[in-house]
Amino acid sequence: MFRSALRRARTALQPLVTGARASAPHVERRALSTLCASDLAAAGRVSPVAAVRTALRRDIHHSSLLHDVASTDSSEKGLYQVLGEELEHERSTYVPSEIIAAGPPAPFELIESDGDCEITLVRTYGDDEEISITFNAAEVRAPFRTTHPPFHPPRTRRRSHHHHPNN
Amino acid sequence: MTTEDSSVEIEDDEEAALHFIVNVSKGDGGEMLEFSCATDGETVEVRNVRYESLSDAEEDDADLLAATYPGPNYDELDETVQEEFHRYLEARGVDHVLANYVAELHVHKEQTLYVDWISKVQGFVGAKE
Repeated sequence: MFRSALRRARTALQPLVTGARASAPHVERRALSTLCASDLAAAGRVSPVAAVRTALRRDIHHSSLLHDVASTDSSEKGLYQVLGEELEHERSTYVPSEIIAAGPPAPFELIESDGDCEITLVRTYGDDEEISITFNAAEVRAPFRTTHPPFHPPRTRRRSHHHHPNN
Repeated sequence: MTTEDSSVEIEDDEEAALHFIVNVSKGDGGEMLEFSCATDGETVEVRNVRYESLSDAEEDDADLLAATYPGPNYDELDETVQEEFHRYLEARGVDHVLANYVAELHVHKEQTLYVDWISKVQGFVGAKE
């Protein structure tokens, strides 16, 4: 019963996935393992998705990935081993989407570096316009349409015209 | 429709926003519009538009941040102005296709960083054990 709810919840829980720095499959496994009796009881009154969401919020707030993985077998497995298992799982289950495989929409070009959270897409437009799109992969997502507070974006730096005080 | 189904539908409708910055520069970067945007993977929502010029950028960054006009409260702009800003971005390829790609790329990059993080941490603790 809750497996199907978990599958539906994966999309709805994307903000929490991002916040937990974990992949969707991992969050699904973790959500299942952290559902407790009170969540199940609550599910009878609300919905399985709400119950999973409650469990996930509690889980993400109070623990980490390593706590979850290690807590069950900590007496038998060391941190190195459980991390290895997690690594193997992620590498064997994650498949980039077709959209990613196809690359950025033309004529945008992707600029990124391994280990760098910032991603930039660039293109030219017309005779003298340069368009760049920048975002941070580590950013935690927030509700999309809300009465959000004033938005103060991070300032971007000009690559070619930044004035250095020593110059 | 049952109460439970209704509840699930409401939950599923809650989308997450990803913020990104669109810079449009011209005249060798002499002038620039900086659009602060958000997307749910399907649409692009502009939240702020800032104008900058090269003369502004030659000031110290901290002073610049405090002194330059950040742009109006976007939500209070006339709707026709907002619509034209939206069309301006669409003409430059900042549309629903790009929004979809940005959302997918965010997930993909985060997954890549996560796997890289596991690998590095595992290597670190392995060296200690």
